[in-house]
Amino acid sequence: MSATTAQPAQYRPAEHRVTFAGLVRSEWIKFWSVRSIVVTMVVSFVAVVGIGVLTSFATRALFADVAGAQAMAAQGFDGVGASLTGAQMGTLIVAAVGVIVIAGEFSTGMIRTSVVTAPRRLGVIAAKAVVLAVNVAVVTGVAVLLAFLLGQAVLDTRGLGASLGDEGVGRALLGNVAMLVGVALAGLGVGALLRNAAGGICTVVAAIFVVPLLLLPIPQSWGGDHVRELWFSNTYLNATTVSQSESYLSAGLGFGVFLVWVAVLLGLGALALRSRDV
Amino acid sequence: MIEAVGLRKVYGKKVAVQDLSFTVRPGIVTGFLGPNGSGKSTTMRMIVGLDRPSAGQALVDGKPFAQHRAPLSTVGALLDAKAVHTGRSAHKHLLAMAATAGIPRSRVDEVIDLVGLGEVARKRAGGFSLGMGQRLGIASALLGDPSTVMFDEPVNGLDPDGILWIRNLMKELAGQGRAVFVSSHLMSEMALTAEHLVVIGRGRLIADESVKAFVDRVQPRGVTVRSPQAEQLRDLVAAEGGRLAAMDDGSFDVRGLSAERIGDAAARRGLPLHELTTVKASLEEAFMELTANAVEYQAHGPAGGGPLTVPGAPAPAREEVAR
Repeated sequence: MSATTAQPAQYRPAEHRVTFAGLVRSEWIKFWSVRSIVVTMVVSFVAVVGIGVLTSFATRALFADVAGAQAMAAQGFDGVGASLTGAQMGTLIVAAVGVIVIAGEFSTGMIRTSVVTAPRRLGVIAAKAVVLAVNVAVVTGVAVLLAFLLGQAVLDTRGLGASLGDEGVGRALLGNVAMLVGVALAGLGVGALLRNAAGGICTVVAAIFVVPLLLLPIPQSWGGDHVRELWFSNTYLNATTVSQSESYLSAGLGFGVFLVWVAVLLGLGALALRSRDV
Repeated sequence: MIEAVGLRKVYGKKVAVQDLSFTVRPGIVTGFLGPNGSGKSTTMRMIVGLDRPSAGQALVDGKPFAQHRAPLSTVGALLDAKAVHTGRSAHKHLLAMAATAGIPRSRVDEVIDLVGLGEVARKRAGGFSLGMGQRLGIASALLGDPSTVMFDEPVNGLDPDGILWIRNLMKELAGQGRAVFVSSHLMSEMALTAEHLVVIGRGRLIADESVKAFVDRVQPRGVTVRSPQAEQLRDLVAAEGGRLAAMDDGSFDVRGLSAERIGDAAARRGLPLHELTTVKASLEEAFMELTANAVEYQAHGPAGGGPLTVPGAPAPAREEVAR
C-alpha cells in the first residue's frame, strides 16, 4: 500500500439547519422585496375597493328615488353584490400574484437558489403558499370590508344599504376573501406547473373568465348543468353572494369543491417542483 | 467532500454525462476541467440536486445533498451568476437565503463585505454586471460557511483584480480544510489554483489525478538545443539516432534523444551548446491532446465522416489518426 498523504482535517462548520419557520420568513422577505409583486398587491387592493365603490355609484344611478329603489329591493335586489364586484375582478390580480411568486423565480433563475437552499423543495412551495395566503387574506380582507362599507354607504342614500349584521352578509364577505386566497393559491399551483408567468396568468384568466362562457352551450343531455356547476370558477359563486342562485352548487358544498380544485392544482404544482429538474 | 459514483445524465436522446466517478477531497482545490459542453455544469447540478441523475449518485459528506438538514453549511455553490431574482437587491437576496436557516443578519453583511459588494448591495441585482453577479454568487455560496465549496467557472466576467482575489480565496478556503471544487475550461487557470484535476470530455472521465501526474502523462515534446555549430550538431544527432528540425528562432528541436544523451555526446565531441532544454507539455497541451483524442474517437462513429482535424491539436494525435 502506498503511504497516505497528510491532509488538513476536514472543515466542520456550524450547522445552520433549514426549518419551515425559516422558509416562511425567507419567503416573506422575498414576497415584499420584488417591486412587481408589491405593485400588484397594491393594485388588487385598489381594484377591490375602487371597482366596488364605482359599481355601487352606478347601481345607485339606476334608481331615481328611494321609492323606486324600495320597489326593486322587494324583488330581491342584491346591493351587497354590487359593492363586491371589485372582488370578482380582484381574482384576476391575485391569481397573477400567485403565478408570479413562483414563475418569476423560474424566469430569473432564482428558483435554483431556492431549491439549493432547501433541497427537499416541498418546503419551498409550502412556505410560498403560507406567505401568499396570509398576505392575500390580510390585504384583500381589509379591501373587501372597505368596499362593502363604502359601497353600502353609497347605496344607503337610496335606502338600499345592507349592514354587517344582515343575514348572509358576513358569510358573503368571508366567502369573497376566501375565494381570493384560494384563487391566488391556484395561481401558485399553475405557476409551478407551467414555470412561465405569461402562460400561467393566461391560463388562470381563461379558467376564471373564458371557460365558464364556453361551458354555457353544453346541452343538458351531456350533463351540462353538472359540468357548469363543478367548474373551478363557478364553485365559489354562491359562497360569495348574499342571494343564492339555483344554477350553482350551494355555498357550503360549492366552496368544498373549490377547495378540492385548489388542493389539486397546488398538489400538482408541488409534485412538478419536486420531481422536475430546475 | 464530494463523491460521484457512476453518474450518468441523459437529456432526451443526448447523453450529457456517463459513467462518471471521482472524489473531491477536503483540504485541496480540485479543478474540474473540460471543454465547453463537456458536462461540467450538468455534473455540478447533479451534485446539489438541481438535476436528478439518470443513473449513479452524487454524495456530499457521505449522503445525497438533498438529505442534509443544513444544506447551506454543506455545499456552497456558485453555479451561474443568474440564480438571482433580477428585481431584488443583493442584500435582500442574501437576507432571504439566510432566513431559511436562521443565519444571523451580521453574516449577510460579512459576506457582502468579503466579496466587495458593499456599495451596490441595495440596488436591484438585475442591473449588475457579470462580475458583480459572480461576486454575489460567491457571497451566496459562502453565506452558510460550508464545508464544501463548488464554483462553476468563477473567473468569468471578473477583472484581473477579481481573478487574483478568487484564486487566493479558493486556496484559503482549501487551507481551512474545506473541499473546493472549481470548474474551468481554461487550463492556465487550473495550473495556478488546483492541486488535483478531474478532467472530462464528452461527459466521460479522462483523468482524475494530480496536476503534475496529468502533465506527465503527455510525452515530452522533445529537446530544444542551441549551438553555434549547426552542422556538427546535425551530425551528432544523426549519429545518436535522433531526429532534428530547425526552428524559426535559430534553435533546433531534437526528438528521440534525451537531454542527458545530447549533453554527454556534445561534451565528448567538444561541441559548444548554448541551450539544452527538455520541452514539457504545458497543462494546456496535455489537455488538448487528451481531449482531442476523445473528440476524434467520437467522430469515427457510424455516420462515416472522415477523420476530424481539431484546430490546434498536437501532431502526435494527428499521426494516430493517419495510422
